[in-house]
Amino acid sequence: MVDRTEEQIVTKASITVILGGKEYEIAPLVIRDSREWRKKFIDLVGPLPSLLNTIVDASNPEGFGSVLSQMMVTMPDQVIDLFFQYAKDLNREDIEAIATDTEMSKAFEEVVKVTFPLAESLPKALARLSR
Amino acid sequence: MMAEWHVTPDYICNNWTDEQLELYVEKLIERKERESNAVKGNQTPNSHSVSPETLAARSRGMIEVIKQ
Repeated sequence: MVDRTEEQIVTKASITVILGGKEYEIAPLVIRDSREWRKKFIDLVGPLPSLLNTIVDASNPEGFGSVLSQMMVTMPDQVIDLFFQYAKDLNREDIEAIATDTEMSKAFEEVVKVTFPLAESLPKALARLSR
Repeated sequence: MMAEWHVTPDYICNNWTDEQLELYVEKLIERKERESNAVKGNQTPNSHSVSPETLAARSRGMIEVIKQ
């Protein structure tokens, strides 16, 4: 995964992803639109720690199966839904027919990286300001 | 920050991406640091004091000496 250059950021250059061996371009969303998307992302990954706790909780064997199903089946589908909610211009039907899960995972990472840049840099910036 | 960039919050939300905001904040901090360092670099211990001759020259007309 290559970091985007300052030029790409300033010019709002498209995010390039590879799906089914073909390159696709995704336009980065402006803050107003990505805010909504971020909320959906947090709603999706927020419950992960409690799901993991249920898996390792030996006293709750009934919960294990449902949580595993949630994490291995439902969640990947929700991730794909979320990806195509961001990349609205892509033809979901065509891409799902040719793309692999690994490609989809990498493409999703690229979108997340562009949508959450402050998560990485804000602590650094605050540390510098407090010097 | 809005005053620095001369844009409204509404404009930022509707026109900038998260990456742009992050980059511009980073650049603003870097510039502020450079300005701060430049000011600190120019301030020597003697920069707040002047010689008696300079003080006299600068205050000419402002101080009246009365001989008693």
